[in-house]
Amino acid sequence: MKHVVLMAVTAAVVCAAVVVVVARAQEQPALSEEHQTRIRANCLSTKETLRRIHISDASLRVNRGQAFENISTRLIAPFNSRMALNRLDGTTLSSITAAYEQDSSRFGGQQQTYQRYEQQLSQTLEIDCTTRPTEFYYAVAESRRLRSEVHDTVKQAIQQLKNYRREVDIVKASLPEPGQ
Amino acid sequence: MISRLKHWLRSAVDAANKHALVVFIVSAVVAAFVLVAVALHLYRTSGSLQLDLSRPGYENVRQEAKDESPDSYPATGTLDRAAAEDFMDMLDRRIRELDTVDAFGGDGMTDAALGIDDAPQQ
Repeated sequence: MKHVVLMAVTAAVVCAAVVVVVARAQEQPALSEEHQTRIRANCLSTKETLRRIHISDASLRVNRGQAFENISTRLIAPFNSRMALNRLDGTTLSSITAAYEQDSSRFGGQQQTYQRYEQQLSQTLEIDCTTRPTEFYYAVAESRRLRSEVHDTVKQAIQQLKNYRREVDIVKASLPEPGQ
Repeated sequence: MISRLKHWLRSAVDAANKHALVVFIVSAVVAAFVLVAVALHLYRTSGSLQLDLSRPGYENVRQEAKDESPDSYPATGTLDRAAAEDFMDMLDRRIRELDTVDAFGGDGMTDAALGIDDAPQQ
């Protein structure tokens, strides 16, 4: 009885492993021999370009993160509190602020878009493209997808700032002229 | 079983007492390794790694990181049209700065740009 259970469990594990391998193979179709040769031939220059992107993106990450943080703490938060102190309705501005905070923390927070992209690109750079061109190619594709996610997150945060600015313009119309 | 365990513990304590200095040094080294491992784990998982431009290879971009403290909008005071205009000017300036560079966009990472596309070689 024990043997039967053991065999059944082993068979189930092997089947699951085969399914996973087949699924992965279907996700990543094999590259043609010419394509692989091209990747091998350009391996060094490709990695150099990726390394440069990696480094320049690190600087962008720092600057963008700092800018988002500064806008939030030095402009938006004081304006919201000034609205509250003047007993003005800032509901819409508050909800835009929340959306902006969410987008900017989705960009730079822990386990968020930039971090996932950076980790993927670091792993990609560790792959030897002369011996594992297919793996390298798909790792680059994944890095590109994650980078595009970072791009979208940054765009969304900037869009929230534009929405906030538009809402301030609307609020402005209801404010008194200076000295009144 | 319990008496054997007690005996083993007693002999371990005796041995530790005999070689107190060695035990102290080994414990200190082990504790240091554990603390460094925890610190490195936190450094990698917290996102500090991505912000750390003091890593080797980042010398050239270190200067590009702006250490700026832009003007703050005053949190108190009357809110009239002029004050709102001031705020909009400040925000416009910041949005323009962010919009100038298409961050993380562009075609730098396409297969063709990296030379790993499937195009036949000339």
